[in-house]
Amino acid sequence: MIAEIGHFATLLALSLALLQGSLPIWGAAKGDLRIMNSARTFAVGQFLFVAFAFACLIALYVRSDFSVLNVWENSHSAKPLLYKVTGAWGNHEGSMLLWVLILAFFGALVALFGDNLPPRLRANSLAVQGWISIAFLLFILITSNPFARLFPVPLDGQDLNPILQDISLAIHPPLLYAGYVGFSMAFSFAIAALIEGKIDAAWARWVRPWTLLAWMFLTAGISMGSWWAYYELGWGGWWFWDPVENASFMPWLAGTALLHSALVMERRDALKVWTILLAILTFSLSLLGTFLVRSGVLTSVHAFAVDAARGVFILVIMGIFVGGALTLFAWRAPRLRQGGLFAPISREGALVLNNLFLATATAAVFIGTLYPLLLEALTGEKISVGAPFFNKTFGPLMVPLLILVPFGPMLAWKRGDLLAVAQRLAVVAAFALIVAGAVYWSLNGGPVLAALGVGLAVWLIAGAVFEILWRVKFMRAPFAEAFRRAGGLPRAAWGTMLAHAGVGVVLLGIVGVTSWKTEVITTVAPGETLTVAGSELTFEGISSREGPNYSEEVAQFTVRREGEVVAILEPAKRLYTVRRQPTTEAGIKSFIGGDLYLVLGEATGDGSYIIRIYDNPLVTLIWIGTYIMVLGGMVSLSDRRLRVGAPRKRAAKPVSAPAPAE
Amino acid sequence: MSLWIMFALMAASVGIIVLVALRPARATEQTINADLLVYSDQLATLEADLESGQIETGEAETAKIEISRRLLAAGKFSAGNSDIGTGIFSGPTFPVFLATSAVLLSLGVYALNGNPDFAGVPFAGRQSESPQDQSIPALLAQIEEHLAQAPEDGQGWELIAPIYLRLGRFNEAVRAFANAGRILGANAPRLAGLGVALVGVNGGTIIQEARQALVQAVNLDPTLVRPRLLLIIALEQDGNLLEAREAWQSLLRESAEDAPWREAVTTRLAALEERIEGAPGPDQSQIDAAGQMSPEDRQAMVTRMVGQLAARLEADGGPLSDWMRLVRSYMVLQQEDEARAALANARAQYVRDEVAMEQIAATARSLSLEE
Repeated sequence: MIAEIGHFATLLALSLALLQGSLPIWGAAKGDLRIMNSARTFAVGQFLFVAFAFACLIALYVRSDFSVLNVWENSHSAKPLLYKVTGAWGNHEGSMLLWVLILAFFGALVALFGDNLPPRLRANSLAVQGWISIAFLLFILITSNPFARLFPVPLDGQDLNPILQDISLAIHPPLLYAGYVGFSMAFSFAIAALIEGKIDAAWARWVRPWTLLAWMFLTAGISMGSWWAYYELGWGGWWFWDPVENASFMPWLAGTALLHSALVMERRDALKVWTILLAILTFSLSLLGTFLVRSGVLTSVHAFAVDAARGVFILVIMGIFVGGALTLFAWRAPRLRQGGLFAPISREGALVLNNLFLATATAAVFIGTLYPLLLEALTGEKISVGAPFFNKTFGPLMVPLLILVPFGPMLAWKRGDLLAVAQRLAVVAAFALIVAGAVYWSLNGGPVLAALGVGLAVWLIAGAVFEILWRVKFMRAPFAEAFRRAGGLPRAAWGTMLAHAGVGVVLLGIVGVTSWKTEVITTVAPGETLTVAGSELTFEGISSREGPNYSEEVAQFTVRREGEVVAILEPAKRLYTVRRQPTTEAGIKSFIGGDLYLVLGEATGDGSYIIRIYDNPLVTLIWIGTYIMVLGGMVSLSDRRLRVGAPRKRAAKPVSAPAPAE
Repeated sequence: MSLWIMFALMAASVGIIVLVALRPARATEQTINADLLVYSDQLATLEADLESGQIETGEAETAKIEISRRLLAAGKFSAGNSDIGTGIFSGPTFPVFLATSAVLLSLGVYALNGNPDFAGVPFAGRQSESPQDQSIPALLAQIEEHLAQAPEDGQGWELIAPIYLRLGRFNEAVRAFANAGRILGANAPRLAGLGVALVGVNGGTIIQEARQALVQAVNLDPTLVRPRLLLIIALEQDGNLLEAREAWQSLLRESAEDAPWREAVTTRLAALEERIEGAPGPDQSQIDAAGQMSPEDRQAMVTRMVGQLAARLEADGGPLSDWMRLVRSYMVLQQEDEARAALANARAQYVRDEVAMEQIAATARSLSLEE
């Protein structure tokens, strides 16, 4: 019964989405406020029904109702409860429903908190949200219905792919989708502005927090996916330039550009048309990401949907939305009022430069990801682009961008003084070079590029901190004065500092792990002791254990440093009973200097085992850095000045708490 | 609550949502000019920045001028916004029509694709079904689930092991008997079960490991007949025919007159004696002749010999080994139907001999002749 209720709720949600997609836009054309405002109720109603349907799906998983095809394919009665719940979106059908749920949730937020938006803009953008909902609800109902039934009812399920039975992979898709779908808000606002033919001041105010929110989710989602790949896949790597990773990285790059251009638009009323285009492109790349992952074009862990009909359907959705949006842009954009002008040397100028680099980098990733697919589709020839391509294209684009990052926030709006900024930053540059030199000498002339990489990372971190110190007149004014200024500093400035410093921390991690990684593959007998990068590992032996839905062989290693036991590592090989699928569980110990990473291999037959040992210096900084970036986003988002402020006189009326993301 | 009541409630909610969405507009809402709000907010922020010293006075002045300029422009523009009003389809017909269409559309599509009569089948509900309604697989699944959560429950393994054995799932039976023995300690039935399961895993061949388990079982409890039977068959298998004959004879001596295995043992013993006296088979000259034959002739000879064997067995019955030889021969000749018939005949003859039945089953499996 629950399955049928969920199915019906999805259909009712579609009906409401149809109303949401049609009525408001007609109302906006006719200038009828009542019809326009109906969008708000429809958006909330649609969200309630999608949420209800999703709750039904989770209930079916928790109850292990194998009369539902999707539950039978992806669950098992013996699966731990947590993975029964998360398994609801660990598969194609469920994850598409999650996608629509997040979309509807964001739509409902706009509807509930959008009191201060101009009525036409609100109605039109909610209608565009409605279109996206219609497209994806149809996709779900026609090709991927999670409530499809199965008869006769099997005794037990087929279990969830074991490598997806993992807590960070349970959180990864919702974060990633919140990122993708968050960009749909910027897209809807852009389309609404194009339909209306004007960009309101409220437009920029609204687009930036939405973009920021989406960007934070996407950053956290990508970081989570990378962390998962690192510890679960057992290769010791953290980024593989895999098309699926690129699919989420492209919207991130474009979204980062959008974030910066929206800043210019908000503050200086400039770069309007470019921001609209970026908003369209960012969401188009999100759709592309969804298409690549969901259509089964890519053979990977994620491609649980190997079905031509689905691929064609998403391709059509993408064609309609991307093609339609770009056509609308070409037709209407010339009518938009152009914004103000500014000098090349200014904060705006720096942000334009940032946009140029990020857009080019997006293009590089785009080509590297799609060219092999296109070539294979047209000629059947398989080529592998892989890391070397990206290292040669993406890397060189990033280096100048990162060198320029500390300059941006130091430049004044409208007209900046590059020379003065350079003089101020000279002290930071000197510091970075000294650190680079120290690294070079302390490693007895290790790789020069690595030392320079460390220097660049230090330049970013110190540059970000220096900007704050400069603004509060640290050392140039009495300490109390500096302290008072720091208190009064807008939170957006702190956010910028954290986000930019976070990039530096990530870079430090990347340089560390790529330059100084140690990898040892050897056989080890029980009782034997190995020494790798200052750690002594004693192989104590192998034992068997039974988990709830797997059995595993666990190797025990005692790790000593300078004679002291610092860790017991237990790399394991698991066999998930239902799917007869083996997985590796790496044994990882994070030290301050880096990770010790053990992977258990095959038995050699004489009691010894093959074991792979990695020493990954500084690798944890990659993920710590991304979370510093997300933290920066949060701080910036909490800045009250981002909100569309309610006028003081209306404060008595408790209507508008117009923070889009609290 | 029945499904249709739930559907009616959901449909009613959609109706309410549509009616609320299209309720008459509040007059105040249209007076808001969002652009003015943004700019006045920007001005307020500017003032605050100036007070906290975040911005220099000169800079603040220029910013203020710019914002004011935009404010004025927005005020002008808002005049063009005054075309907003209400009045299209203001009666109740329009919302009611939309609500009805929305519900009918959903119901229509549901009617095409839904399964309203197909009740949910949650896993927990199926476990509470009364035991006699439960098939053996369902019971097994229940115990298996329990064991997956509590792998150290020896009683569970003990319970499930003989079921596996009866179902011919020998690999799992071996694991279950071994676990039961490991957790609860070895005893004769567990060792015997392990031995029998190991024999099953190896398609009837009694390997060393099985033999050890069986010997231990007999040592612990000499009254257990099944492991003794298997051990004697192991002797036959090794070619220790005389020893095997002695063992059969002593088993018969020790058995009561009405022991159920008596007849089977007697038959077996007779077959063995026949083997000891010289098993009927081709003599050297026949083998030499066969070597010089054309493939067609050789095939014919094999077919003839198989035919003779079949005729003899069908007329007088015979030792199990001959039956199995017959089945194998048919398979070599690719006469699967005959092989099945021979298996059925063998079963009919040995229907009361558990050990023999197991060997027949093992042979059938090894030749992929399982029903």
